[in-house]
Amino acid sequence: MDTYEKKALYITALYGGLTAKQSKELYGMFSNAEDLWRNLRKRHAACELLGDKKYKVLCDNMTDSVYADSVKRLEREGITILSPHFNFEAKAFEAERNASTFDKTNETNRSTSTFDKTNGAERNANGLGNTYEAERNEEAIGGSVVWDYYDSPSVLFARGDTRLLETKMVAVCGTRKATGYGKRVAEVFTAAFVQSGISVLTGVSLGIEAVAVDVATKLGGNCIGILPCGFYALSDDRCARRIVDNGGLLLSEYAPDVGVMSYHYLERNRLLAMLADVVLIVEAGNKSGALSVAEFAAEYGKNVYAVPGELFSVASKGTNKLIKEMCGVALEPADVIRDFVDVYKPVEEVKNDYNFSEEEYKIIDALKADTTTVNGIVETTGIDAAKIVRILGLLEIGGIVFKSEDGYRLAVEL
Amino acid sequence: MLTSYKSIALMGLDGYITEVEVDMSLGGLPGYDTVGLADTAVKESKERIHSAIKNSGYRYPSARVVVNLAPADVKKEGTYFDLAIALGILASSGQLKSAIAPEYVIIGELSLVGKVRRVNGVLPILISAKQQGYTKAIIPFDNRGEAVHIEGMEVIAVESLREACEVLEGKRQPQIVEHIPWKPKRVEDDAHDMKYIKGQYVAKRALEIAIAGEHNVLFIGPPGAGKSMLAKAVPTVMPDMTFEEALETTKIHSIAGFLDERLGFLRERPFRSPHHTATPIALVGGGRNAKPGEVSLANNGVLFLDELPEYSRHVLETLRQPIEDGYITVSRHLMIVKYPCKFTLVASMNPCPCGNYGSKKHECTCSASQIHRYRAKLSGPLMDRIDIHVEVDGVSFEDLSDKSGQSESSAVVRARIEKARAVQAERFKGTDISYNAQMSNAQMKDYCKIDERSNLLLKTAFDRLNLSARGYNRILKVARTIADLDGSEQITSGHVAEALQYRSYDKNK
Repeated sequence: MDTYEKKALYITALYGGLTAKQSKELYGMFSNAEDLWRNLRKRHAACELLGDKKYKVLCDNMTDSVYADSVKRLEREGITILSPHFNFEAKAFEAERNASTFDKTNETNRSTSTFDKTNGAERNANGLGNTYEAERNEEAIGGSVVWDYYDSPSVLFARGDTRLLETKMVAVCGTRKATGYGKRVAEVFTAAFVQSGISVLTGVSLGIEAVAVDVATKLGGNCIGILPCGFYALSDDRCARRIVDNGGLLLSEYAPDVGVMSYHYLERNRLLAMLADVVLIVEAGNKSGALSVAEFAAEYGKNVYAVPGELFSVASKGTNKLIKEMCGVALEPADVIRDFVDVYKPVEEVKNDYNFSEEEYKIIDALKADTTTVNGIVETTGIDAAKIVRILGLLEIGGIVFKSEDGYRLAVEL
Repeated sequence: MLTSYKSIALMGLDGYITEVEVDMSLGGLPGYDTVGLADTAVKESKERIHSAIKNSGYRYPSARVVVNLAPADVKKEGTYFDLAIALGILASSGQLKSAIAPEYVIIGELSLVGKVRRVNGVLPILISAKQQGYTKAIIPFDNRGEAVHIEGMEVIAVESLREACEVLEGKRQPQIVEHIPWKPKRVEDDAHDMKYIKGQYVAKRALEIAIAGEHNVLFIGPPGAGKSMLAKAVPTVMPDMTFEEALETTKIHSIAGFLDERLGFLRERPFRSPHHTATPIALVGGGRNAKPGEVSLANNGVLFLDELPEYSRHVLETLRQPIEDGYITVSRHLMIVKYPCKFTLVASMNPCPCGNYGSKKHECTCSASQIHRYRAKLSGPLMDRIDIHVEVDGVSFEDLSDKSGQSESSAVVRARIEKARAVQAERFKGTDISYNAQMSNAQMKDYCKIDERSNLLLKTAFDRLNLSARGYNRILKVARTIADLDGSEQITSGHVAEALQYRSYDKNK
């Protein structure tokens, strides 16, 4: 990048706080970046455009020393600045990147059984669902260009691998107060996306999105997160760190020293919808913030899918409503993946040959009858509590059941 | 005239024999001086002694009295010395003629009327006296309950100054405390017996494991689920106290002044539940008199912390060392007192601030960050010491009104626990620990060998369930206890699988 362009970009990004429109107009007032850099103080039209305060701040910081310090700090923190005004060198790597991650992820998640299959309950079922084999479709949805919208951001701060912006991605969103069911759904879907080579985009919140990040990074998939604050204000976010440590990408619309404000969340959600190719809402309550992502996505013309939940579950009221009113239903990961690749075929179902004992069957039946607590199972089956706990423990490790906040539930169909 | 009697000063759990020297000189101005680093209560005894002597029918001498409490460089506190000083004054003025008085260790506080009032710490005093070779003592009548189980001592209980004098002169029959051999007596059909707790099978099982191996427990459940009830049942399933344990516990309660006169010796294991507004000093001990705190009062029993997140972090931090070491040193000016504090910690908490997270019947009204913050409060060294976490479900109406079905009684559970404890006693004979929960990493390598199958299980669990290294060690210890309860030498995969279910919920991020 030419030095003056870089300088002008950096200072306006860090100290300007401009909207995309303002930024465009400002650049329009000058013949080139050097002109902007040298003559900002003299152009009073700029003062009218930005307002006195912003103009003064910008002018004060349009100096070489400020620039040098900023660059040093940004480089130390590993932050780059992306802007619509300058191209970044990502496109050339797209094909190469997609191909390599595609192969890698398919390998890591082949089912690995770690102990012998004599005891049904100890079977290591691949609780993450069936594995997919997807054929690539050359004309499938490509990476969105985030600068093309009427309310695009003026700049994006990035940390991590910016080439990921060119990959196909699904926004996985959901409530922060996720239930065991919602977390399980997020696990299954994210794993499938990773296996199919699709990047996972989230808002890096607690709950559903944290699960998506965990699973995606654990399986070696591509992970992109959009933050509602600047990078320095991140403090100790475990998930954000995981994304970067595993070769992912973190984005933020805000200058690094800007902290979280309540209105940032909506702004961030629009970015999720902007950047994603497809949006998936896993679980959301009536007033959940995740629903706004769906609304933005509809506005931007993206496909939105929601996963249904129990009628009486408070955590699914929002997603159920979404399905009723406006968006597509996702009953299995294939429903979403189909948007990306034309042809896919799920690998033939691994029909696990479980060899459960009579007691184990009794317990599984109790679980099927919606008795989720151990005390309840004791009363229904009459089996000793210690034995039930033992069996459920083995089943949990084998992926047959999972523990949610209100008890145990079956993870596979039996 | 100079007389010298013996009394005892109490420091922490130990008593130090004190010489009470009373010197009287008839010439000169009347006066009364106490020397020997006596504190205010001791100095004030002058007035008490004066009135007591007068009201007992004796004459208070008009002379210069000097009382020396030797050794003179050790601080003397408390009101133990009143009786000895009064007797010394009477002897020095010729009103008490007794040859046997110097053989006794004399303790007691005097009231203005001349009655001998009870004091704290009589039991540790007598034990210390006996250890130092003194076999005769005079104690207040109201303290006699503490002396009944001490053998090899002649302990006389007196009700008044007059009686003490007459006994020492041989004019009255002494009320000698009769020795009763120690026998642990359990209250039958205790109100907190396990059999009154309906349902809650998992929690009861977890308690059984906890007490068998002396692991600490955390109950998580909605309000009203019965967590306090479960905690109160713990003393009923703990094995009977041995004489040494009862002695130690009674000593501590005696010093703190909590001994009931009727009971004297404590027979039941203590159950302490300090409110979460308790200060660190109330909890671990200290204050002016280096009194024992709740952790010491819970020694050999249960310390129950209800609503654990409500306790201030500072308070929880001060608990770390007592739990780790099993004793607490309370430092004061010129003195360091060491109290034992080996207890079983039972803690309880709600799943979230409103209490309904995870309930199928009631909706949780907390926001995600509220829940997150609430759970994050419990991190750090204290949580590392709690090996077993159990979810306690809410109680349904059917459970309450179900008249049928009998739950196991505490006696049955206790029998199983005692068997498991016997196994541990055998295992750790000759080492410096007694229970599985205390095992170090090195000891775990020796005693917690697991077979290949279990190892594989743990490995899978590690990955799938996001365990930490600390969690791994805790699970192994608990598995060892479960195996002991099962009567099994080898830890099998079943034991590990069960132990995994009681793991700490730092998995639930």
